[in-house]
Amino acid sequence: MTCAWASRTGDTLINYLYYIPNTIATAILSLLHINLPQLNYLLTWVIASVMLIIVIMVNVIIFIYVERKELGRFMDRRGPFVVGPAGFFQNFADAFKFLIKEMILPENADALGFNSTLVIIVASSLMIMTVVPQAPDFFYTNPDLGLLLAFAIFAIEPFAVVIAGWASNNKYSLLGGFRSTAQMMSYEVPMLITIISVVILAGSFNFSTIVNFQSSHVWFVIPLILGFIVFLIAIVAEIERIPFDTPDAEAELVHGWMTEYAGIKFALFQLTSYVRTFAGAAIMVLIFLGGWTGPFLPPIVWFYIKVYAVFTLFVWLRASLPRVRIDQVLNIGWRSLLPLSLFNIVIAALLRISGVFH
Amino acid sequence: MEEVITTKKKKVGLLGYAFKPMWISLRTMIRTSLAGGKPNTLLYPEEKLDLPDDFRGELGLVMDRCVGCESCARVCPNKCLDMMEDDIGGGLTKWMPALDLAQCMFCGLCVEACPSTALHMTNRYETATLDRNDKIFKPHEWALKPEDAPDQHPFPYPELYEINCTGCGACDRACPHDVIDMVSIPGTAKKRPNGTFGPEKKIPVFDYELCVSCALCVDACPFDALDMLPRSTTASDPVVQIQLQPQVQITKQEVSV
Repeated sequence: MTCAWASRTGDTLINYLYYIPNTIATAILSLLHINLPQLNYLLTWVIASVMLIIVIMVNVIIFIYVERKELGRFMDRRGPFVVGPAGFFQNFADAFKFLIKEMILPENADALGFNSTLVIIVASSLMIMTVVPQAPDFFYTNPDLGLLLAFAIFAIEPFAVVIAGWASNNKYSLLGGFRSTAQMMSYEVPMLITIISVVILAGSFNFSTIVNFQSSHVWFVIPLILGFIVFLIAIVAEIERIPFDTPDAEAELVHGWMTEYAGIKFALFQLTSYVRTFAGAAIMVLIFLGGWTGPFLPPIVWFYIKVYAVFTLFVWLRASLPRVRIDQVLNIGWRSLLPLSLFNIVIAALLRISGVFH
Repeated sequence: MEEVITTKKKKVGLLGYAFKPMWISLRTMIRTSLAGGKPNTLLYPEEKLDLPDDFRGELGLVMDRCVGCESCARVCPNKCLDMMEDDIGGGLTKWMPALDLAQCMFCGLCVEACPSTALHMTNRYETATLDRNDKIFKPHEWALKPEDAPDQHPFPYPELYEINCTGCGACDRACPHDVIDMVSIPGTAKKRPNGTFGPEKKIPVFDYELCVSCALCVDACPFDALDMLPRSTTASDPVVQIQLQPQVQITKQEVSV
């Protein structure tokens, strides 16, 4: 039987995200005296998915807490500090508040589109991390075209956003959905072109290969600093965080395409935006900042140190910059980032053919 | 030709839009999170600000000083003060203002109007209650001790500008406490063509022992002949000399113009 978790780097590390679920599944099946390899495989897959979701959700909870605290310090105030130790359980209090709220279906709303987009957005956002390895010994899958696949899954959400905006039967939701589409179209292009420059240097779409290449040469942020900046702006626009949060601009549209979603649905959307932030930061760390490589500490620790550093950068941008107007968003995307990313590809190609990276 | 100075709009650019705000927020974060630094926020229920002495908080009444003049009740724009009889101890009652703090907007007009500095704005600002009726106070319920309120200023008393007085007696009719007597001035009666004398000119004479400084007479005077001037509390020796209004002389030229 083929195994999706087979290590492609040729080393003999144990993949814990396979090893632990497999052990549990084997133990359960042996207790029940069932000897079915297919069932073992399925059970392993389910337990590994749950483990991955737990890892993502724990990180998201810490992300929200870290963001609130750091944002407070950036704004000369203290974040939450009452609920729990240093306010850590404030998130749970907020989540509980969302849980007990009424769920409302707007009048004349399309119930199928209204509710199915929730599933699509949450599922697609959680799915990004399945193709993003977190360490050589901790990954769900590590496909050859992992980088491309990650961005393909990244790009599912705006379609669901348009559907959500249309199904809500609300002008603000619809405008938010349209804005999301326009923003996606203008930022996917420079971002993918920037990724191509990384791929030109590394010679692979596989995350592990890219990281190993960086550890044997140099972090791609140094030769491709231009591409790094373009990618930073584009990824912030892709995950719709504050300088580019035009789809759910609170000041202009009420809450954009999320206006009509109430209670736990809204909480899930908010959670999803942090899942996407986590995925964006992880991809950025992997393709530009050397991934999990680093001295002394285990790879997974280095990975999370870098992810939280990038997340702090996102929070810093959020604390400093005002929201960009929608026409400015498109202007920046098409007029500035696209030429810069093309120029970046030229730099990458020159570096490649000059023999500096081989 | 007048030179036209146009202020050119300062170009902000990428540096001003992106990097300067990022630098400012980074500086704030470094300042607030490093050792020794802390955010500007006051942790309210645990920490409280030191309020200035003239903070406009909840109202307080010094019952000893109140003269029952109703100035505060008259000036209050929200009608939150109402006069009532209340015990002052020893079986005595006094005419003093009661307060509905739920209506109060903390404008401080009553404090300014009070002639005897009986009203004060205290430093208490946590005035929330669950019931609106808890904020309605009888005079003794919102009373302050005299030592909690600042020192008493000299009472203002009505003074007469004789040059404006016509002797109409409006002040006498307005006075609630029999302070004013209209006294005739001998020898001011005009002689009528038929030989008889008309009424003599009258001016008000004040018995300051009875005066409560309520300024009702000043309000009543149609000719601006009365003004409230501070005097010492013993009304017999005036602190301030009576100031005559400078007489306005109209010359012929000004009239013709």
